[in-house]
Amino acid sequence: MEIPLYIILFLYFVFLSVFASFYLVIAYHIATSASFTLASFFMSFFIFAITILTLYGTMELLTGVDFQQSLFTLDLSLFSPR
Amino acid sequence: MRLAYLIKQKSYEKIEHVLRRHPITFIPYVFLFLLIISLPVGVYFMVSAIFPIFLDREGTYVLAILLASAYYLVSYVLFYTQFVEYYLDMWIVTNDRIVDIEQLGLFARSVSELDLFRIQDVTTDVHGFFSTIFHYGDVTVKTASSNVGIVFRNVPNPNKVREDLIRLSHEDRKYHFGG
Repeated sequence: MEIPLYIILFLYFVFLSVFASFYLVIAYHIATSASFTLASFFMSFFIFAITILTLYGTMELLTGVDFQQSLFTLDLSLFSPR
Repeated sequence: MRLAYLIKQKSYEKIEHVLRRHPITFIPYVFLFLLIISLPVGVYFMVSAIFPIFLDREGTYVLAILLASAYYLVSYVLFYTQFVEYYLDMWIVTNDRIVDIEQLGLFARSVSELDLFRIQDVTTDVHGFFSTIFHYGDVTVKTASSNVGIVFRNVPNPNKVREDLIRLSHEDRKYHFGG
């Protein structure tokens, strides 16, 4: 049984959704605690900017990769009875 | 959300101080963050030198890129969380009460209130080289009841805060008890 490379990509997207939810929780806290000031705005903007840069860099480094290829192959015959 | 709404400001109440921890207390977290984000670069050079064929295979290359990306994103969230813990800790002093808001992580917050006329003792504590140079420290407010107290942690100009608290508590006591 072949495990394709795009499985890791799916796991990464799941991780991204968790990351996005944390980011939204933090933004919610800043908004609801009367702390939306210049300092918090700059920090939020900085975090957002470096996140975008990281995601862009990841995308650039993974351009041209064939995700259909196999990551590794599971030999299921090891688990079947003789 | 406005501060007045956050503390349910009363009609006669005037906000005298909104205090947060001194910005210099956040500097160590900035250095820690810079150290954490520089780690993958070091690991990359180490792996390239010791196991040069490790990144040649496409599967391991993709895994390494995605792991590094995830590592960076986690470090950003942790740094942002640390900032929220630092910035959302605040002490609001009005002419009627002190409101102590402490953010404990992302999913916990503690809010305490203390009427000014109950204040018995205000103590400042400036301890250490940086605290002395940059004029920040702790202000401890105690009441007659030994289990009720508020500590302003690492606030700028603690001596001025202490003087203002004593003045405001005297005025509030006159308002409540006359004389």
